[in-house]
Amino acid sequence: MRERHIWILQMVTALLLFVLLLGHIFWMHYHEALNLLGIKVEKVLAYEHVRERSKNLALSILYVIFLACALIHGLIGLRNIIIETSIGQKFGGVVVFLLVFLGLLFFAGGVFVIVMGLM
Amino acid sequence: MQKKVIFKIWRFKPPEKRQGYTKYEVPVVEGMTVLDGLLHIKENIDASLTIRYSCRMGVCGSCGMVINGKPDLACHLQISHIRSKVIEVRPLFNHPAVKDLICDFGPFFEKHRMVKPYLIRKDAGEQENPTLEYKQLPQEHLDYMQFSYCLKCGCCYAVCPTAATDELYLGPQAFSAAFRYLVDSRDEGWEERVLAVDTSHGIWRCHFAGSCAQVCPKGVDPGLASQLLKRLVIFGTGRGRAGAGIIEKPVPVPEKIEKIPKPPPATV
Repeated sequence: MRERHIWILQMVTALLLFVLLLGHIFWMHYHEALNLLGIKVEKVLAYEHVRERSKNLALSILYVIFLACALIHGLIGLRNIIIETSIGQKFGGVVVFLLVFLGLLFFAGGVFVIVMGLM
Repeated sequence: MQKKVIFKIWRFKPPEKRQGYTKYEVPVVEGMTVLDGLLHIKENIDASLTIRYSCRMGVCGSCGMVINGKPDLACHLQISHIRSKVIEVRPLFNHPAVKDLICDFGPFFEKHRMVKPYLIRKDAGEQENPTLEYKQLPQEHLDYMQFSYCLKCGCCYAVCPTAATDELYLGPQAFSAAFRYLVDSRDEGWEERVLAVDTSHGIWRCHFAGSCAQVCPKGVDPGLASQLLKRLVIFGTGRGRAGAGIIEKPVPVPEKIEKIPKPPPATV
């Protein structure tokens, strides 16, 4: 993948993360504000509500996208930091391989939890 | 009593590999620049001090150096504007030092050359042996005017955090030059120039720290040029653009012979 594509991917995931994080923060932590706006949200952190949400397919897909965006954006950032160090400049290829491996591992773990919640 | 300042100058003599600061006391007069202070030291105190300068008026970009931690042109900065009794001067960061305050600009200019900082035309015949000028509207000139003020003083490159860690990184000056020619309506070298900046050591490594824009003595804002260059490369604006043609040949004005007075007859 060329440097240009990596940069574009990081910017696109940043935009998606902004929207998703904003939604997540308001939904989970500022639901009173949503209630004021007329959107009924109650006890989102209660066990039965969490269980109910995890069975919702649309929300599960949204969380998979959220997870993918966070991993892609974060790991590209980490790569950019590492390749500017002397170690990163010497072993750039190994660093990228390790980060891709780490990303896939975390993604698989996250998707496993979301899929298990659907069942 | 005449006001005096202490010049703390970084000295470096290559074969000895000895380096460190030396202090000099310099009398200050109204309007005196840092370069004037350095020349005072060279002429009256220590002739071995090595500096590079030329125009003394902020046009040539030769006297770029780090003054009290910030790169600037020594001929541009007045001592009274520094507001400190100690003036610490050292060569530019990210440029290999040659001697005292002089740096090797070879690698810097090599990167500048890589972005082909000149008009590239398909009509090479017209470019090499021009018959007339290329057309350009004043609005089109404004697109790149700010970026054409660059002196190549290297101050932006000296503060770039990416240039500090990546020797092959092209740097803000080269991006600014690339952008300046890419948006020039007369240019047709989109592919060649984009190929030079769209690499693993190119434009995508810019973090937009913005220090380059902060230190530029001519207000070029290479940080802005780098961000605009990214947009230009992604959206391909200008790809395959036909450069402006040459201006139309002016219609010859018929001479009004009857109104032009005849020269007086020769006396010799």
